[in-house]
Amino acid sequence: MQRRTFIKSTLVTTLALTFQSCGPTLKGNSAFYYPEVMMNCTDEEGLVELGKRYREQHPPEQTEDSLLKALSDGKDFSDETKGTIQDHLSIHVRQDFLQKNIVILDGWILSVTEARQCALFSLIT
Amino acid sequence: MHTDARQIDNNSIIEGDVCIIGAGAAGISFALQWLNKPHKVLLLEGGGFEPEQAMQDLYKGKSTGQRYYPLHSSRLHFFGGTTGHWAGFCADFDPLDFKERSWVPNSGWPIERATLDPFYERAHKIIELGPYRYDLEYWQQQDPSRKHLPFDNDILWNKVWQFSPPTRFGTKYKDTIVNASNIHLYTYANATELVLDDNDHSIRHVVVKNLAGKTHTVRARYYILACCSIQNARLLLSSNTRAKHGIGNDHDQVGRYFMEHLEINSGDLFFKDEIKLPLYLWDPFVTRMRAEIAFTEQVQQREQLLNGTISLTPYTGQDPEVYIDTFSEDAIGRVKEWDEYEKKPNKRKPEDPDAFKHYNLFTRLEQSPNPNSRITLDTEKDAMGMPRVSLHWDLLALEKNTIRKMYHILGQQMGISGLGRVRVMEWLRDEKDDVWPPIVGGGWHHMGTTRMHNDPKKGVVDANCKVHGIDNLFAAGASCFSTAAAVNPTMTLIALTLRLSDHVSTRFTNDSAIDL
Repeated sequence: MQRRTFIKSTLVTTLALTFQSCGPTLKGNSAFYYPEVMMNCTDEEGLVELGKRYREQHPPEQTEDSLLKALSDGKDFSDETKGTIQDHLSIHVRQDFLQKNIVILDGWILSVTEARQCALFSLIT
Repeated sequence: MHTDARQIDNNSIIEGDVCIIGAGAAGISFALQWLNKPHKVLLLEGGGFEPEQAMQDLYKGKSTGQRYYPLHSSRLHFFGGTTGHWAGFCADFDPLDFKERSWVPNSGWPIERATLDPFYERAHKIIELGPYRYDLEYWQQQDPSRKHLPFDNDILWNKVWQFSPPTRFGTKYKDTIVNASNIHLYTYANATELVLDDNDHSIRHVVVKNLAGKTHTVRARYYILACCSIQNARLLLSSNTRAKHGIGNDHDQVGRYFMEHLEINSGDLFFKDEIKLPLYLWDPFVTRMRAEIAFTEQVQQREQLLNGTISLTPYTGQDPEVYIDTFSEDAIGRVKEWDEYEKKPNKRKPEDPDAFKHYNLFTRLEQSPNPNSRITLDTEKDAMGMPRVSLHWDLLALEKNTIRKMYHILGQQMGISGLGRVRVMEWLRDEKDDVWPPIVGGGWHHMGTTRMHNDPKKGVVDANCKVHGIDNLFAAGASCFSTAAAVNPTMTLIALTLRLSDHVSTRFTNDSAIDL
């Protein structure tokens, strides 16, 4: 079993801080790109790998736009805070698991929501 | 009383009321129930008081099918038997283990789980366990730090294990047995053949031999086979002078349904924050209880799972050991290692465990009762002329699919909890792959080779562990198990043996009433 380190990437931290400080642009710059639990379970390389695998298995979800649309349920989060977005995503992650809306990527048992987040992350990293 | 069967005259005739063949956990537990009773009990042990290479060599055999441990080192051939190297894990079977399950072919026992309760409690004393309590709430009251993971109770539960010190029967009970006036222990008395009476429905005597070249005859009213699952089957199959296919084997059931516990590293659990999990940890010879994650009866039924558990071990930087790769053929060396470890004065006391983010996940799973997983006789013979055995260890897709689903369920529950994520190992990832990896091992738990069933066409012993068709022959121990359950077998085989002992005692009482 390959050992994973639990280091938050500088890039992701930068993303989060940038979002906090600047505001409304969703694309490339929001909590959607930050799978909260998985960021604490694996490293940047692992997230990128998971994201790539998800995109390989789901051809319609190759772009940031398509992934953001799926994650936001089509709603406009551009004026929402990071906390609101994270709450939205947490609820979806939990619902995914409750409803068995699950994917297994490289052995990881993930919710579809966080797999999409990994996919987003892999597009910008 | 003790006699070294190498030292008595050749062709001695040894007589008693009950003859117990084998002095391991089952044989000694049985004998202990007869202390100071008005019966002469013969306890036959093939080895001596210390493990010896020549005795272990008698246990050599072959294995085919799934890779298995060497047969001569996964069990011990001396007074005390395989308790000489067991780790002390004890838990009770679940009620579901005794029921017929539509998704588990050949499941179901002719007795219920509740039947064993009084015997489990008695077994506790023999293997030096704490109170007969396996409800988690009790243990959490004793130590509130033993918090469980927050899963849905309708899906996952926490199965409690207690740990025997572990009781080494050869050390703990040697003096008791040797000093008992009505228990006659014969060491170096290897049973090599059961001889039928002319009616073919009872045992007339047992032939015992040793490497000193002596042969003796042992006669008793009742005979108890208690020499471990492989040896019980071997003895029945080898006793084929009058019964062509072996005693109790009219329907080709002896030796079949060999079951193990599949024990295998299966995945990893990553918590988003460090967490202390004292409830789930095990420190050898220190921990007295712990829990493993188990699956409720309703989930097993709904998902068509075998019964199994998942245990957690902190990841400390090295991938976990694969026991079947590291298992030594040197049984005697391993016994010595355990002895030395147990004697260490600086063994740690239970202390506040460290917090970890990463835990290895280990599965223990019942093997499905499979008639093709079996013990047969080999053409090669041992030094006393007895045919050796061949084990064909046969695993099914049901077992692998169960493990896969278990981890999906655990992964789902971890996801719901928000605490972390599960990652399964590579050998579980392809849902179409039924092939077993070479890393799968067992717990050295040998079960089922003289399984219990009311129908002689489907089992070897009846609900009282009496061999079908033979009036005075019983099997004791895990060879009688109809299913393997998720847990280590020792406590249950002792409980079943105590029940058998009570039954045989009742037989004597009834015999006396008839004689009157």
